Amino acid sequence: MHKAVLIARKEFKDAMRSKLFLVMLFLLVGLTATSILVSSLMFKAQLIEYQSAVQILAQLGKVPTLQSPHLFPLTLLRGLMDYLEIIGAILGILLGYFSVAKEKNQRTLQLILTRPVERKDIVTGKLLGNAALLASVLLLVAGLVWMSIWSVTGVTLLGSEVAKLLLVLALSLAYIMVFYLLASFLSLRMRSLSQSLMVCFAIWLAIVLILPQIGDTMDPDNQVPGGFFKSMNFNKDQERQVLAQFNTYEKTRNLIEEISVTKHYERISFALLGIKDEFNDKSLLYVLSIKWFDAVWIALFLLAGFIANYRIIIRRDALFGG
Amino acid sequence: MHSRVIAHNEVMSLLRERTVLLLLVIFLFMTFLSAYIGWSSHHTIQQIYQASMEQLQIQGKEVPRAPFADATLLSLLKNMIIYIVLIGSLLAITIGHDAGMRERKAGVVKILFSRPISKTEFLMGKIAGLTIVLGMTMLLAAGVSIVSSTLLANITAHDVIMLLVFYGFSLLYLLGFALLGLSFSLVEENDAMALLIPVIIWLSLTFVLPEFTSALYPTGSLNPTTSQMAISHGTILQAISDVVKPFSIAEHYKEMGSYLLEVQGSKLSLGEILHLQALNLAAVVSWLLICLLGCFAAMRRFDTASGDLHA
Repeated sequence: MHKAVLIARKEFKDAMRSKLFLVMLFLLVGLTATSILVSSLMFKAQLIEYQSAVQILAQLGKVPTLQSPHLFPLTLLRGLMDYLEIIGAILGILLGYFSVAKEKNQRTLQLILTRPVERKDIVTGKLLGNAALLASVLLLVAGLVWMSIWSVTGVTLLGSEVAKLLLVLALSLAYIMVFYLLASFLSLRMRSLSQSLMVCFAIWLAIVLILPQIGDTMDPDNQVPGGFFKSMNFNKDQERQVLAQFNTYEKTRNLIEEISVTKHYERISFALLGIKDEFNDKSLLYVLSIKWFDAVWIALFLLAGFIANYRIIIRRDALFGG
Repeated sequence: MHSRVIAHNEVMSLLRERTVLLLLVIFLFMTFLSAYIGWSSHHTIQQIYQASMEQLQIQGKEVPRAPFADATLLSLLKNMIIYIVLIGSLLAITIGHDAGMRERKAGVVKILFSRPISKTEFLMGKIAGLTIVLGMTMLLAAGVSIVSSTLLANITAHDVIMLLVFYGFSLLYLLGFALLGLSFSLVEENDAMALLIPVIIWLSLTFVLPEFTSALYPTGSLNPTTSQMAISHGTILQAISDVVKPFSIAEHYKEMGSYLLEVQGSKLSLGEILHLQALNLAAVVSWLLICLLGCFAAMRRFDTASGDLHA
């Protein structure tokens, strides 16, 4: 274990020196701040529109029936979650790729293995080092989120909101590590490193963007701008009644979405942050009692990644390919 | 003459690349699938509308008009706009990267330029090769779209023309990304960095800028039906949007693409679309020209004596 920790420390330091990692880190941090700013500006614009509508109605002598927009601070993280889905996954791919590429390019794995280090220590060490690095990045993001929400809206996140935020970031870590493991596996498995990176991007494209996009565009409610059921003046119960008649279609759509780890991550994170209206102001336990299934899926993808990496590392040629 | 040989070699080499072929197959498969998804979703939503209508009639409520009554055959292919922006762009970056890196990785740059060939001829050959490969891809995609649409409904001559124009317009957009990939692969010392920088630029153009210009969340911009949110005039967001909008190339492409595929719900003639969308077209052409200039600048910096990657 001690050897694995040594490798983990080396991995952490190497990544901190990588120019590309720093570029991606600054991109993520910059986007965190700007996405919160844009979301809060959108909320303020809604509030101004509401106030002017109320004023107009009052001048006309009518009683306003519109509800005032209510700020749920964690919902301001919608943009950030999208960036973690897309750019976070790329960050994972880059870390996984460079973690293997540097050893293959410099042929240092052979050297390490001349020392009393086991192959599994190498995988464990690299995994721990990169997980620690990502956890640090996500904690930095959490701090930035807390500060941005406080400075932009004046709201201080406390108690259950902080717990929800931290749980979302823990899930984000697991999600990004799935892509780290994918890139690490492919870089070990394939002879050409640049080809492995391109295949990673092709898989990333399919999992992160295409599958969720297909599910999203097949959603009947998304066929009309603003929502089909809203255009029919339907409430949630009526919507469910109608959709019950199209069970097979909905199941197929759901199946397409569930192939993607990104969709599971999105579903549970959006529920925890209250981005999905029905989960606003609900307790952490209530959300988990409904969305635990998505967390289990993320864990399964992670487990598959671990197994694949451990299996490939014990194959002799995987380490010596270049 | 040299340019023609290089272009020919480029086309043959790219078509032998396994990663390029993988992305090409994914792209063409999604082209076929987009017609089916569009048709299937439309068919289902019509049935859902019927079911909703019956429920409203039982309750004695007024039935709103079907919101998609004016949907045309071409609008069923609306997902293609998104697949061009996602898969097409990544394919273009990949082939641009491959084109720029091929000689450098093989270590033949010195040998190549010891022959009577100028940098301009070399670059022109590369650009011609990329244009041919991307042009063939778009032509194939147009063929797939036409065949799949014919299988699902009656396609008219107007629809075929609009599809060809749409794929021609997409070629302009994608060629920009291919040239971007080519530029960085000529100047970057690291193979992975040369691929990643254009990918980061693509990410910014596709997901980040639309959030500033149209208040669209990154994943929200992947739904071709989502209308752009109107940003209140006089707000800070409007000011940001005004500044950023000209650079939001993906949005210019999507806007004009949605007119060509009649996603807006109105069947316009090509002349009317070109008139209405002149600014978006100009933005995409400018994007291509800027990338072309970038390519020439990269080629000027390219050192033929030490251009090999492992020299």
